[in-house]
Amino acid sequence: MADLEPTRSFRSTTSSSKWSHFIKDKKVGEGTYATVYLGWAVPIRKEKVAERLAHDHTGERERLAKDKKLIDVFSHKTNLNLVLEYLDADLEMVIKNKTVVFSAADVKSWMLMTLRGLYHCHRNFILHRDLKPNNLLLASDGQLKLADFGMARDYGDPHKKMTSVVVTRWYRAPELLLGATRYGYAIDMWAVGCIFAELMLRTPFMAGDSDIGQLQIIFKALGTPTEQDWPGMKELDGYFEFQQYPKPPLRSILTAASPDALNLLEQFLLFDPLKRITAEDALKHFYFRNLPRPTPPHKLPRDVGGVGAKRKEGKGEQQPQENGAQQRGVKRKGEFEGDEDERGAKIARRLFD
Amino acid sequence: MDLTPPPDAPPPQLFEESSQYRHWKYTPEELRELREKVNAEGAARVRKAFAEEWSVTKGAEVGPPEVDCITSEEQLALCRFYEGKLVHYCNYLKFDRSVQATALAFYKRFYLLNTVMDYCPKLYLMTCIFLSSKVENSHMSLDLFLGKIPNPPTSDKMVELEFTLSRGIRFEYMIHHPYWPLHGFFLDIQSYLASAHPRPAHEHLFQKLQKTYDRAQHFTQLATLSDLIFTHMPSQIALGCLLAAARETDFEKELDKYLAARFHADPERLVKLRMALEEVADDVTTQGDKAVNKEVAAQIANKLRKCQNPAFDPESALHKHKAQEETREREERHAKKAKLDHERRTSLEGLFTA
Repeated sequence: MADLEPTRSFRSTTSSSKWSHFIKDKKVGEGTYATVYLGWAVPIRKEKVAERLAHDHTGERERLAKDKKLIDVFSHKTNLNLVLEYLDADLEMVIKNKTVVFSAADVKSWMLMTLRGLYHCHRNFILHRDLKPNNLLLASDGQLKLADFGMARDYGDPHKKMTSVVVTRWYRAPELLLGATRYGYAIDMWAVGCIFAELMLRTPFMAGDSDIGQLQIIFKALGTPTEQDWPGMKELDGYFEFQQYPKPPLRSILTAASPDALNLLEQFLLFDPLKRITAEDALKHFYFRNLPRPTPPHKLPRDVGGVGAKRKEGKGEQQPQENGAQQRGVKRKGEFEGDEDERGAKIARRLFD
Repeated sequence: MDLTPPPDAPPPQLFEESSQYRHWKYTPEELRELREKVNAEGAARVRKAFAEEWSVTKGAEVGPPEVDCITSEEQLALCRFYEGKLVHYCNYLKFDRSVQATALAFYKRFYLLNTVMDYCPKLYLMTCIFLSSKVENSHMSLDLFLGKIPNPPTSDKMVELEFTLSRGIRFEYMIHHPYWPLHGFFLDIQSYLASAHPRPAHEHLFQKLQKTYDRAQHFTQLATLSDLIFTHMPSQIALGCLLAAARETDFEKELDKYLAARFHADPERLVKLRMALEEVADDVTTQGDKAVNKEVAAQIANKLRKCQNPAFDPESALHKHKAQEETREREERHAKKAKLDHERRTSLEGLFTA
């Protein structure tokens, strides 16, 4: 499933590989620190698999190996090349493609795979910090994999300060919007809640156009938190007197959702990070035990047909692109400029400038 | 496809999935053999390079002199000496213990697979600290860093060194230290004590535990200087350090009871664990005797000066010669190509003018 089995040993291939083991094909995208190429494995191992050759500049291999399968790392001249499994679809494409119909069982299956992946990360003391449908990639057999660990970092010491400028705004937890520098796994769970709602609504649940606007939208959707809902919120740096909104029942927004789904969603979207459900508890929630049973991955709807065609239906901030893969590659450029003290970024900058 | 949630299944051993376990765990015998092998190959490289340099500078008439290479024991001693220095530098630069422990692990890993004859142990000492500060989220800017260390290399050189180091440790930056599990055991033993003893006894036992923990932290630091990081898991090292400390603070009986309580379902594993813990305790309590003094290190460093691999030294005659050769070949290729181009062009021109 979202890779809970141990990844295979890299001992034989790691760093001994060369360019000659792989053929570089066309460029599929460009990120803040890396350029992504599609590549092919030369049939040394008697196999021809589409693999992702990334000229990646981050030394995040330990994390990458966990979720999206890292196949190889090698250096050539002053480039560091990470070879990753190539997955050409993501959950955002499926959500946006209105010709794809999906059921409650499908949503349950995707949620299950997302939470398993995340449970694995959290168990390994890793905060993902950039969960969104766009970063949940889909393999051809329907498997969902967490991707884009560019914002991820290790977590363990709750006293250590971290930057609050993480997670794409629509999926950013309220404590981050209020400038919390000490936070935990709960920020990932908030994002999962937003994704859950988005899967049911087929449109981003809380799409703000600025940080303050995002808070307003959250309060409108979930009601302004009281001191009782969220003790300690007034101690956060960014706290201000919120505009008061009543708490509407979630049922009024998500009319078609089942009661167990709503119950789980409410626990993802609790204001108090300490009360918010953990990945492990979410997996044990009765939503996953009740019928309908989650759809087996290979039977999940796929974003079939030309990617470009239905991209045009996309709405919101992101501009439709010719090619889905390209979209994924370029979208992040310059998005998190404020994240200076983070480790991956630093390694990258120093190593390869 | 099995869709039952994983928390119900026995979780896979987390540490066994880490690169530290998969790529950097050895038995003491394997470690020794690997060091011998790396040293032998390194020495052969050095002899070959010296012979080449000799033929470049002196011609082939006289045979090259015999090179006295560093042995693997000497390299180990020299590295140990520099590891002591590394700790001093980390303290001086006010880095915390995780930076120090990671830098030590990088240094050990790098010189496990490479020799000091190829790569200068002094330069890589600094590089390890610098890279470690980034990996452990305590980054200091390169210029500031270079400003604080004696005889710093240029920043370009540093970036180059950092890359070589990264390749040497196979881009595996994540190091699991014994400090974290040690703290975990500290907390768990507290809850064990609270549940196993009547309330009036708690105060006294907690005080004893605190004393043991403080002492164990000292041992854990010693453990990061040893080979234990290659041979034992971080949690075993932590428990072993607690054991060594408990022997000094008269807490061993409680620790035994704690282990028995936690492993009561699996006494066989406890026996194995006890063996591992004894090895760790033995190692950390004898660490002090293994320190290498300055005179010995200076002797080895002197010897090293005469057997540095010239192929790795940009100032050496061999290196310069090779660089010259390369430029010459490149120029020849270019000249050849230019000549061909010229011929082609003139023949084409000939076609049109004819």
